[in-house]
Amino acid sequence: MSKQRVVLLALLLLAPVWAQKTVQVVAASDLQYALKELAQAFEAKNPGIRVSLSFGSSGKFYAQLTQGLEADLFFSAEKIYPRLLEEKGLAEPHTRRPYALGRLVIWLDRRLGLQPDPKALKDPRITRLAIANPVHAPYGRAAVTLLEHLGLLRRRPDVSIPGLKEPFASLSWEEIPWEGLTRGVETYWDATPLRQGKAHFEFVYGENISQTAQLALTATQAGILALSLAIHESLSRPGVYWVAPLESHLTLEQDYVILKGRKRPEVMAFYNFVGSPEGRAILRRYGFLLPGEKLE
Amino acid sequence: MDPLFWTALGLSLEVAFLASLILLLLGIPLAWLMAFHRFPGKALLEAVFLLPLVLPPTVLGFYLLLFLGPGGLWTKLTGLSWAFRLEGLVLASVLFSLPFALTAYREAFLSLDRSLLEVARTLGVRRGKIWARVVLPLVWPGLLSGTLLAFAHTLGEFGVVLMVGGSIPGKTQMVSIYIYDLVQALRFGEASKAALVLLFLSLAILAAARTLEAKGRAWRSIT
Repeated sequence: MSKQRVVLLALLLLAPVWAQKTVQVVAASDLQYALKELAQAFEAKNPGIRVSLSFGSSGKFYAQLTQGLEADLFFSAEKIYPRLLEEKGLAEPHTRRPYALGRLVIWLDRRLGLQPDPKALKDPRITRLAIANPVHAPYGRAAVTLLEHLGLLRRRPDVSIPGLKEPFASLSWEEIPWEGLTRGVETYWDATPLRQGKAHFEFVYGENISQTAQLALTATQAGILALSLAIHESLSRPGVYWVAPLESHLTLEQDYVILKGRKRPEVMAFYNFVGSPEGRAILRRYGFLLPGEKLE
Repeated sequence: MDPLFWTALGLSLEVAFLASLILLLLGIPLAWLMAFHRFPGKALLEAVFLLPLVLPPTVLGFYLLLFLGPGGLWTKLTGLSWAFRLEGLVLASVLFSLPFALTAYREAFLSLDRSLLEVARTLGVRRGKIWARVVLPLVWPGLLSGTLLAFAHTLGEFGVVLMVGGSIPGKTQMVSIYIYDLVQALRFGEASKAALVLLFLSLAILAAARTLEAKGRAWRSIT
């Protein structure tokens, strides 16, 4: 066994050493387009530094970061995950900071010819609705609370959730134990208002918000997506969208944080660039509401 | 083509190359054992080696993640954290491509004419020489074709690699995941170009493997 291990190690030493001065970023996938542009603007100003971006659901990245994923910066779609990292000692103290407030939209395929409005979801042709998986994706959680707010989903009073003492129906949005809701939204919520007048209706879950966008675009014709994606031409050209009011769903207060032991000068430079007027302008262009700003 | 595509393809080729090389070293003795020896628990051991063929990639990936992660056994034993790193990807690839290599190697050994080996042995030829003069000339097409299969399979694996590697561009983002990420970013045009490259590459490797297998058969019928 030790011989094989030696061979393995020897082979691995031959692996290329990756370039220095790279800022490794893992980010919620609602930042797919905005952060890419932000990174390009940053690299243009700082030619010696490369920003490497990886997108996925915040919950998945949180799990991976606790399992040894190496990254310098984590942009979450919800502040809970950076806070948990901080509590576990996996983040640099005092570096957790809000960078944006996410906005939610109902997106509809343009070919349906429907007005962008929540009522459109009742159209009999909409038999599938794409949302991000609420178990680990903040946008999925916000989507469920939006549908509830619109009266399109109703909490089932009779469901019991393991480890939960109070009745599920009495919980506020913030108190819902999302990680435990692994049996699909329809186990916990009654979707009759969405189902009425249709042969069938089902939710289709995306692994993260950009896969949800892909599902909406290619398979379901309707989805609850991030405004920062819906604004991009790949979705705004084939579709129309309705922007949900902030108070109609679980807030998407988005925080970012530097990971433990990663406070290098180039990381700090990008970290600060995100909060700079130029960085904020880019985020604003993608429909994010910025910390300290109010809706016009 | 986006330069990131070539990075991802390069990483995939590197992982596949390292994994195939390790499989070649590891697989030959194992396949020999499977082909010519009987021992208690052999069926169970064979089943274990074949497991990655039928196990959902997420299950294998999940166990590997627990094994390689900060609290995992591997980390405790060696002090190395291999999750989300190239090393972890290579280890995972060795495991999930093992059945492909092993089955091909065993077939190659089983098709050896054993009387040839016995003749050589009765003539007093040393073991090393038997391998060099009799075994390898007969089985190398089979060994190479199995290695190519393992290589192609590593190149194409998605589920395990996603679990164990995450998707860090330039570090752990293999080409299958690169394509998946392109689709998620709704960059369908680039995704289809990248997919086409992979399609032709896989086709070429499989064609080479089949040619080698046929050659192995032809070789045997002559001897």
